[in-house]
Amino acid sequence: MSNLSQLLQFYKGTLIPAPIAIGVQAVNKNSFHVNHFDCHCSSDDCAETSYDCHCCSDDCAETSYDCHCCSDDCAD
Amino acid sequence: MNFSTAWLTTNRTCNNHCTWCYAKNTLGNSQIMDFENAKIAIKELKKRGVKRIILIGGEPTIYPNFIQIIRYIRSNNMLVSIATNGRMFKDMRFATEVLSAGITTIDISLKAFSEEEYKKNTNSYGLEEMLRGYSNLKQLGFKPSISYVLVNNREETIDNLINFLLEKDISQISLQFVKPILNLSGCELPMDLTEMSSLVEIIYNKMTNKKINYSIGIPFPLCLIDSNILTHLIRERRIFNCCHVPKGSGINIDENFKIIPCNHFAEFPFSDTPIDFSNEKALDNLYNTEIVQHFKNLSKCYPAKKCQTCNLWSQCGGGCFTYWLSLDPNDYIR
Ligand SMILES: C[S@@+](CC[C@H](N)C(=O)[O-])C[C@H]1O[C@@H](n2cnc3c(N)ncnc32)[C@H](O)[C@@H]1O
Repeated sequence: MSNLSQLLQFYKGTLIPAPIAIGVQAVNKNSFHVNHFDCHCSSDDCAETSYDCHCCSDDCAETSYDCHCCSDDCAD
Repeated sequence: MNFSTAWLTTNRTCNNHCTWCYAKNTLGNSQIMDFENAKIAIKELKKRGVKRIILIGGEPTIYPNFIQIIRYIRSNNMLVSIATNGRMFKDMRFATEVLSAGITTIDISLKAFSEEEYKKNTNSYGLEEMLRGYSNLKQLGFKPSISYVLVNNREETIDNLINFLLEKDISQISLQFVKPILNLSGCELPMDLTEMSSLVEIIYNKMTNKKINYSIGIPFPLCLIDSNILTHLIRERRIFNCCHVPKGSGINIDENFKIIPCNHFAEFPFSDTPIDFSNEKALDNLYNTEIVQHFKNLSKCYPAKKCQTCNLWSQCGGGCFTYWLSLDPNDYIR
């Protein structure tokens, strides 16, 4: 058994599948979480735009939080 | 498989050895990413939709092909960021060269507020170099972001941090919380999640008071934070907690071209066989394996049953998966 499989045996959460959470995003531009945060909105819409962030789009208005991308493209 | 962001561990070697480093057991590894193969990987990532590559380590600025890899990524029209301790930028010529290679963002991680503390935390004296690096970049018209990992719950740390930021005229800080160092014989975590959540309250009060421009990465469930404070933090857009893992939007490649679930799994690749990026099918084959599917399924589950009915779920996501490898979510989630 691989080391990863062994490690995953320690998982203590449920096995109930959940909808993917979008998360919240700070307004700080130019800063990105180096470890797990990919600094982009998670919505699939993103895939269509050249810079992979929908924070400047109207979709944001629909969400309860305000989603901001940190990419320079988005600055305005 | 398509991705939006890729992390490349160019090397595990580092000029620091941080006590809390998730990769601390790999830092002795002198293997560096082969540049010719890195170029092939970058081309393949481009084809798979990657828009931003983040170079990480170890310390990416000591990668022998550091300038070349930045240029190569930019020439493929992708953004390139680095996570760095910033020490190498003490050399103005180096800083100039990196900027002219076209780097997009630089995140400098602050490790301590005094040289003695830096030595204690990293086993080297690097604070002065880091500050000189930061100042060189600013002089060149570039604004790096500064991040700081919270590894203890002492209120004094926040006071020292605020004083340091004001004294050094650092106008923005991104705070993060420590995650466990994953290990089969037990995952080491220097601070409990409840201590982290209490610290958030202290940060909020003190940073607001001193008008600091801060953001905090919250890797634990949002229900641990006092609801009033949480409302303010969300409204003021101070917190971030999105993770690429459940979304599957990111890919992490180590120095040997093995794929790891995320950077925190430094010693736990999906497979011990490196990916041959010249084979277009190699990644898809890996992602179809049982272990990758198993990991993906687990990372997309509710940590606790209570989360199922929680109206914060879409903003929360249940916290970082790595915590639930040693802690029981039922002991924490409210
Ligand atoms: C591993 S370092 C690599 C890049 C570079 N050498 C540096 O020091 O920033 C990347 C970032 O991860 C942070 N980090 C390391 N171990 C961590 C842990 N156990 N939990 C949270 N963040 C951690 C570091 O402080 C740093 O900000």
